[in-house]
Amino acid sequence: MAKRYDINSALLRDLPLINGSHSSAVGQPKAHTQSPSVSGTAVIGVAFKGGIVLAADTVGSYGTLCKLRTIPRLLRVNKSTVLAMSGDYADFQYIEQLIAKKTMQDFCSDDGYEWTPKSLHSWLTRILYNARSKFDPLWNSYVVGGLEDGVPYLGGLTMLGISYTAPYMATGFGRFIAQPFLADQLEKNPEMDEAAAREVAIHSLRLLYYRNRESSNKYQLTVVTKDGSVLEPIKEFEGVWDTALMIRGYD
Amino acid sequence: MFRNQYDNDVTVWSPQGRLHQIEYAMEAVKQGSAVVGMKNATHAVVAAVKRTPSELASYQKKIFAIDEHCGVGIAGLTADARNINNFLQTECLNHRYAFSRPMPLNRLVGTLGNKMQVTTQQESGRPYGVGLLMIGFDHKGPHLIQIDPSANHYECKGMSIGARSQSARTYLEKHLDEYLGAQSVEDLVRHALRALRDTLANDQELSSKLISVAVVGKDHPFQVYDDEVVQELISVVVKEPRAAVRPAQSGFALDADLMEDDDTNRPPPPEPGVSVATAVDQHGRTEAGYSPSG
Repeated sequence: MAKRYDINSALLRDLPLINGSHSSAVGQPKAHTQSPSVSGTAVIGVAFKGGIVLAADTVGSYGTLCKLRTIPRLLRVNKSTVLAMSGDYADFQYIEQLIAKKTMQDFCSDDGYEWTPKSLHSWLTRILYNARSKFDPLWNSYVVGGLEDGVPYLGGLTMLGISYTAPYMATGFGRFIAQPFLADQLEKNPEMDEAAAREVAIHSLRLLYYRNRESSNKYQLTVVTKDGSVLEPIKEFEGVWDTALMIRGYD
Repeated sequence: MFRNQYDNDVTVWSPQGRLHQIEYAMEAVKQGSAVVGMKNATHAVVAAVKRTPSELASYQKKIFAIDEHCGVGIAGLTADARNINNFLQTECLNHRYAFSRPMPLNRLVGTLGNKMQVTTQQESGRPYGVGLLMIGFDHKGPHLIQIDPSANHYECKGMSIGARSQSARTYLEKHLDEYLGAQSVEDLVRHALRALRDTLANDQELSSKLISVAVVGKDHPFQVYDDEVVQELISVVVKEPRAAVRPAQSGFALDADLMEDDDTNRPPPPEPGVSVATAVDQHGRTEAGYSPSG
């Protein structure tokens, strides 16, 4: 199996290798997820005037195999906060549990204090940075979205605990395929409304569908506006493959 | 040394169903100089009387900033207050680090309450000898919270603790609607100063040296006012006539030499080993080992 966590550090190089991956022998760092199995590919986030939209397809890839075709990679946290994930699905489920636990504690406090996109973004950054600092990173990129005091908030986060905010987001392969398109669209139309933002997000998925072997045409959207957050049902779009014939080597 | 056979240990009940050590700790709060707190719809204010051991020394700090959104006024043992303050600052800082936003006051006080409660139940050690008036502003608006050595905490509209604080509470009860509906922070602070003035001895008058004031509120980070600002606020209040002279206070339940001096006749220096231990260091200087200066 390929070594996924391969940096030129003496510390890591000196770790004993068992079955091709780094061991979690006594006295050594744990190494649960240094070779992710089921993973999700790119997610898209777009902020518009009065809200945000997150989009992701629903594939769980096992290597290059499209093993799971319908798994949700979006999470509705509360009425103002949603989350999109790409990367290892098991690590996402672990994060889901952590969030659910914290949400339950907040609920039991009954003090009206709950997640906001900013606080979730910050907290996830600590979780991921802490994990990577133990040389056992959670193999995910996240996009946190929602309304922070009524203002659209879109936060990105990598598996190394690097976090940033931007009016548009794409993770994984989407950074190469969708990000330039999103940048272009937001430059042309900086005051996007919800309909335009949805269109842009879905078109980004379409761009990925044509180019990214791990993606699919089955997708899900979540939208946060002042009226609350909605995790929409899974939908499909039709691929148009007419142009494929024009690609040299396609047939 | 002990007043009765049931106060050796915090965990021992008296036949009357009382925990004497905890009650003594509550008395320690009354030894400290007075602190007043109150709030209106948008802000909370805390004001305190500072003490100095001599003309040549500085005044003991009474108000501590915890975070941008909260702070405390203390009455009792300053050393204990500093320990609690340190804990509160750490809690707030950790919360900010994790969530990038201020810690809600109810949760902050909850953690402090848990910490303080332990000291009222384990036989080693002692309860904290300090009372706090915490002011803060969070997602639920302004707060004023009283915290006792018994680890009880109460959300208040107006409150006062410390020496002769009953006079201030009388003022706070009488003028409740006025300060709750105060339209400006200045009005709120002036109410606090009036309440605090009622705790002062007859020969004392408000002054910026003697008084410490802090405010927190909506779009207003916790701020201890500078002396000049305090002086300006005081200048209005001192022109007003003082409340009727209080009847002489009867003694507290504790040793006379631990008591606040009510008048100008300071008692002679207490005997060593009673409550103020006098230590002589190698250079022949003396220093008070213990003095409830807060």
